[in-house]
Amino acid sequence: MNGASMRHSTFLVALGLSCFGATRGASGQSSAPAPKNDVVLRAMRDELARSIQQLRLDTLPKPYFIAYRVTEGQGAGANGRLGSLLAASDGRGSRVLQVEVRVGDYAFDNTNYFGAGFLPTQFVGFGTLPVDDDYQELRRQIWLATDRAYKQALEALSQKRAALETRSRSDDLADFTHEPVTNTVDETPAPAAPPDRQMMEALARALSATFRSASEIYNSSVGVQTSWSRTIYVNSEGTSYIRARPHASVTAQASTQAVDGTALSMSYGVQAATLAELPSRDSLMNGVRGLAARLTEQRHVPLADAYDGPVLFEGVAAAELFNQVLAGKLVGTRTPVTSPTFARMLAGGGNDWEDLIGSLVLPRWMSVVDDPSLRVMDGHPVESYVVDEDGVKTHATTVIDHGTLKALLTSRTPVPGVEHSTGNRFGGGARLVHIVVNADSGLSDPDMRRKLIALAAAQGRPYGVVVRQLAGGGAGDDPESMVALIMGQQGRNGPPAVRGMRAAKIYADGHEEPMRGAEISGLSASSFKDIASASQTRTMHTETFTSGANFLAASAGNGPVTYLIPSLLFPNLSIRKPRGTTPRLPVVAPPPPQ
Amino acid sequence: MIMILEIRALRRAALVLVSLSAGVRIGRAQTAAPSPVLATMYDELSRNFSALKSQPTPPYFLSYEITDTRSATVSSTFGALESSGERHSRQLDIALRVGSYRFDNTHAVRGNFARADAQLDRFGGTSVIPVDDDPSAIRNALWYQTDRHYKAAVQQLSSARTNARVAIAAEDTSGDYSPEPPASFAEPVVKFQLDRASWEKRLRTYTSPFARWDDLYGATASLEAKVETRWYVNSEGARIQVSEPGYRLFVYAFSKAADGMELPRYETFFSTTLAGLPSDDVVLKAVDVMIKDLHALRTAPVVDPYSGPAILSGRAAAVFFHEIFGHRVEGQRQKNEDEAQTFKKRVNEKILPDNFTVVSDPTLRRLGAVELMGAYRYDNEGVAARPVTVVDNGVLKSFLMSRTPIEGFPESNGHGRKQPGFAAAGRQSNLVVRVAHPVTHAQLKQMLIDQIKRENKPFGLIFDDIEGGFTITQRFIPNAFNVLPIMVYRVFPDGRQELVRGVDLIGTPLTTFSKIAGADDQVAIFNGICGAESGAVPVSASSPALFISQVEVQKKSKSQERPPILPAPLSQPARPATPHHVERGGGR
Repeated sequence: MNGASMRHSTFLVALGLSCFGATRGASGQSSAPAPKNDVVLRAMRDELARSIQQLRLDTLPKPYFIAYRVTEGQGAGANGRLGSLLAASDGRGSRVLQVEVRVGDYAFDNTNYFGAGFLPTQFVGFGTLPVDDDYQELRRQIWLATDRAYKQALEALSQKRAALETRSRSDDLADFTHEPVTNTVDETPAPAAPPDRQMMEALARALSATFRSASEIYNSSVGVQTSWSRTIYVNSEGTSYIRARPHASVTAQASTQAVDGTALSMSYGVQAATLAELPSRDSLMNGVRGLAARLTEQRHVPLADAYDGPVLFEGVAAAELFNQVLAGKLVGTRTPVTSPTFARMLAGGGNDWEDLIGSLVLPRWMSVVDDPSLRVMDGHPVESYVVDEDGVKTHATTVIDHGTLKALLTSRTPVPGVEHSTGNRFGGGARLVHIVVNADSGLSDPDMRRKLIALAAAQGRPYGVVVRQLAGGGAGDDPESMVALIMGQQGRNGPPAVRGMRAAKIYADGHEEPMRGAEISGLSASSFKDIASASQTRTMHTETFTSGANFLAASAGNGPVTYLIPSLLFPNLSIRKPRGTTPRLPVVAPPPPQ
Repeated sequence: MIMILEIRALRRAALVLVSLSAGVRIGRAQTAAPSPVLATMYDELSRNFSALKSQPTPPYFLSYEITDTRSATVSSTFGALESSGERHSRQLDIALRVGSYRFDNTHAVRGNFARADAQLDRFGGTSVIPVDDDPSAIRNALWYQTDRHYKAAVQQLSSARTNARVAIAAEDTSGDYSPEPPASFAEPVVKFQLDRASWEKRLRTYTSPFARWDDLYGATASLEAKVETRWYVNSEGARIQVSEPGYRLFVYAFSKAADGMELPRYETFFSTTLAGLPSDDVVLKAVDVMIKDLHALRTAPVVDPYSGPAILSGRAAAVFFHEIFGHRVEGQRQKNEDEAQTFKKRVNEKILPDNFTVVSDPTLRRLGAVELMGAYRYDNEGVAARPVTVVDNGVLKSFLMSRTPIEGFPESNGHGRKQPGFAAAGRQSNLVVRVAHPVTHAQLKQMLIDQIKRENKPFGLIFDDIEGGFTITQRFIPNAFNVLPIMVYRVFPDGRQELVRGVDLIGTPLTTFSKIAGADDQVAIFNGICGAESGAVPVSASSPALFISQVEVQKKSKSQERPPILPAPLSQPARPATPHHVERGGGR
């Protein structure tokens, strides 16, 4: 989400965190007290115990590790467009099971393999469970899903062994790390009353009606969502956790074409634990109005000129840039063993920063820390995690220390140089969660601009460029951006192009001239080493994590990542004029307002 | 592109019809004041159509169709609730044509993939529109989407014109769209009502008998309740409002044989009223039969590939006709030069025995006690539904026509159908096979036994129940059909019957048609969803049981995964049924 303005979530850990067991579970039996009458947890534990003890096909290996992860949720949503409700739905929620079965041993098992008929492990083992608290039927579905996962694991292990008979591995890393057993409960109870659907629908209608008077915006929608989800995890090592969270959000999206035909889209979003904790109706209304005004204004902004010189990524744009270019490099993504057929397809699947641990990747005055356990960032409450989705305790990891790459963020799948989980498994693999970027000697905002102009002058430029918002994945519904989404936002040569949505030229006398469509070419992860300055003030902004790696090969996680980051000044980048054809404007004028 | 046309998983509500004359037609229209949505659509259509008229390439035809769907789905598995929810949404479909009725932007571009670009344009983008009747949001969506369709159409027309010059002359020189008289019709919008809580209870009851067995690996029951209201306007002046309720109860269970073969059983009940759905007793009896059948199937012997005489029960014969014949008389297939066009040159020729008549009748609401899923008042191109006699006493007379003309058939006969989001095409509705001078079922079975003896075959086959079928109608791969049976019996010369498993009924259309040697008086109905180029549409097919002197069966594709390793975690599982051979009546 490219929230131009963002209120930060106010998640709070409600219940105490019970017993971080430091002992390694030898028996495979958990000793944590289960919440009373939790039928789902009881069914999971009982079927887990039976499967780890008895599940075995003939003389083939039995599982050495089984984990169950059940996610149950309920929610309601309303979407509006131009004052009308877009769709209405109501339901009983869902309960999804994910089974992980490993055969072999920690050093060598069925995972980290990719071959015909096998999806990466993060995509297998899913099933649905009944929403009724029916012990017998929960167990039946867990039984069937475990059986399927075990058989797949056996086949994957034998294919992986076969593949290695003709190929040699470039590393002898273990497939799975040993981690301490933890048992935690971190629950915010489900709201007592069902969501007030009428209120949500009325809000969606009212907010979306704002666009009725924005005749230059062709397409818009406003969504009001509320949900509560709960995850229950147990594994055969004895680790378990329960995490339950409420969530509410308002998002608005608008798209149109600039006067020259280029597709433009922008969004606005706020999040909180509950609807009641969202900003006031007036404040939401202002947020949506602001979006409509910014997008309308943007239609008329002139296109960027070609430029070579310093570029300042200010505020939100710095977080967006970090997320687009650098985030994927900070996550350990294991290159899987493949059958010969797939070896070529998956080439380049790993993360080349594995080889840079111990090397300089940023200026010596910059450091980057990720800490999923943070409860507050910059004075704002953030969603905090006691354990990750493998039940591994979370903690602060200094990824880059004074410019030097120290570690990559990992799950229990180790990568070269990182032999234990950093507690960053969220989604299918590891991801960033709360990223704090520290600069030892930040400049004030006016000094940042002065330096931008000075650097520009030194290169003979009459102005410097400041980028305030990037064009992100929030593609419009035009075919061009859909194709771009499918094909990946690849640059024509080299690294993916970074596109500036809102940018401006800043002249020596301080006046600004806005521009749009700046395509910043040749900006790669290694460009960050050259950063000239960072600001004292830092911006907090949430983006969706994208690993950028080959998704088939990489076991990267997914989900939101919150940044606290200074503005960043790059000494020399190239901006290209947008090229190619643009669609024509609509032939018929929009319908007159009614 | 391989086109596979399939029909799936539908199930009769009642077995046998008393007589063929028991059909009930769509009643006289009850009219109502049209929804304000219709007026909004008409206004915006007129505004866009006349504004675009001044363009260098103006449209000659524009239509809007809005499909309003209120639906609820409740499902249970092994006696526990799996999901329960409801939804209200609207979808917009636009047909915009530039050029002329004679030659327009939809004209088939032959011999290359030049249209891929234009098609991407057409499918890109949302067509979801607000559910409120407020004109502002609806008009905005209509305007925005019309613009995109217009631009795509102009581009298409230019490549179609070039292609027509470059490619060799087309065999069929008929026009691209047929002008039709504009219809004006509005029936009352049906109110959607469903007591979900009480259906949650009932559906739990329907699947709880399955839960006593540890050799059933999947069991679900679902109710899909829906009111679909369609508004259609076009630049020829049509204004149509139709509103159709539908309730489908679907029960599915599967087991696995020791060799890994998956063994499914389905039951579907359909009605246009909730009261028309079967009582709990009827459903639970069907569930008992399903359990018995699945246990019998687990231990039934596997049949090797075989060629010989067979009886197709009414339901099997209905699906057989839908695949082998119905898809091959869909109008546009006679024009597309990638299609095999099996029947194109056979009009007024005999293609079936003299006593066979085949009708496609969307105005037929029910046959006997069974409501038919393929009934409608207007098709998706604004043309009124009407019965079409496709085969009259063995002689081919007509095709199922949308507004895409073919040589000799310049007009639509109300069979232009589609799923929202697709372009309309000639599709089936209610396919009815009628046979004059039928024999009794006992006589039909005797014909089978006589044939077995005459040919010295060890056995013949009775295809009793099926899950569906599919066919391929294009030229570059063999033009085969495949019917997927579930309950198949082997009949020995002494009349003994034995349940078997593991075969699909296959063949090619003309050969198999020539082997039809008899029909009985027991008509059965298959209600189902049919998928083809214009999406999934509800259809029915009905037929008496047929005796075919020679069919061919091939091995079913099967899963290599064996049954679960650990026993089911049940407190007290019922004892799996002991192997037994069920003696059943065969045709129904």
